[in-house]
Amino acid sequence: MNRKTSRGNRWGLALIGSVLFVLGGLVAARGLGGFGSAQTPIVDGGVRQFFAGSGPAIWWVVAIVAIVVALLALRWLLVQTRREVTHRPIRLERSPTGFSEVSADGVADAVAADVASSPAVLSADAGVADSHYPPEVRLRVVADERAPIGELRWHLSAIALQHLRDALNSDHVHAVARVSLEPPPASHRMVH
Amino acid sequence: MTAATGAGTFAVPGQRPAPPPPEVRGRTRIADQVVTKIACCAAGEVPEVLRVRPGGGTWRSPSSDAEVHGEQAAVYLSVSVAYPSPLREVAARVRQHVIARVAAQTGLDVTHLDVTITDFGGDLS
Repeated sequence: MNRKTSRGNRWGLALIGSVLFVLGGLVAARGLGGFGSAQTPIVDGGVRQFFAGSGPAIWWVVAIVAIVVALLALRWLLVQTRREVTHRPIRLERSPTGFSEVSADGVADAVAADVASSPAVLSADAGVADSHYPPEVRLRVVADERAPIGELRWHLSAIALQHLRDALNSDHVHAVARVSLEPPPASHRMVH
Repeated sequence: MTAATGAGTFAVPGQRPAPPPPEVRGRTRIADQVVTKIACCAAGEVPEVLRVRPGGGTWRSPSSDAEVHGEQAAVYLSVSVAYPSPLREVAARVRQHVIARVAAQTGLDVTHLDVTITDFGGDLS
């Protein structure tokens, strides 16, 4: 699941929650006698008359609305399988006599190793977001909380991403880095 | 034909007909594995290439392979290169060198060549 899917999930769940909340409130109000007596049926004569007077076309509208809702729900289900990173190779070039491509995992490993070479970094992981050229890179960095953040930023932009730009022959490589700060492991702590 | 000598006569074998030229006396077929080997060696000669994956890989870790069809060959190479070398240029150099080397050593025309960079290693600097 990628960030776009997570954002969609939040909006979808908020929408459904709001609808259910409003419906629940209406039902509760009805039970408490807010809209007439709780003993009278909800589908009364007026509703029956509306459907009877609209003719068969109303049922076609209901069916179409139900199908649209079902398709939206199916699409929502399918986008859950979208992943933040891809493992498909990145196409470098294609010609009538063959193609050249590079493994997305290979690129991710190389970038992660470059990032992890900084003394400020405790661990690093990378992924390639899509197989287009140049690819977008996602970095997850665990840095030493005592390390200057400027040094880490310099290392990312001037070493790790510069190497990637050199490798891809591209002036611009889009990258998203999520940095979390943690205390260093006990074996790395200085004892005074 | 007979020849006379002091001791008697003996038969001299007749002149055999000239053999056909060498190029029509059979057929030379270059196996796929030979082309694979030549292509792998040629790819390994490109300075930025650290390793060439030999045959026998899977779809997740592709390997190098070649197919010979008559006078033409298709080559599939999986290589590991130094990081951060310019990938497009390295792939183009591999392509150029492998095509030239296979043609020089076998006379085959490489009509299709795929280059897959599977991983990186070392430091170019």
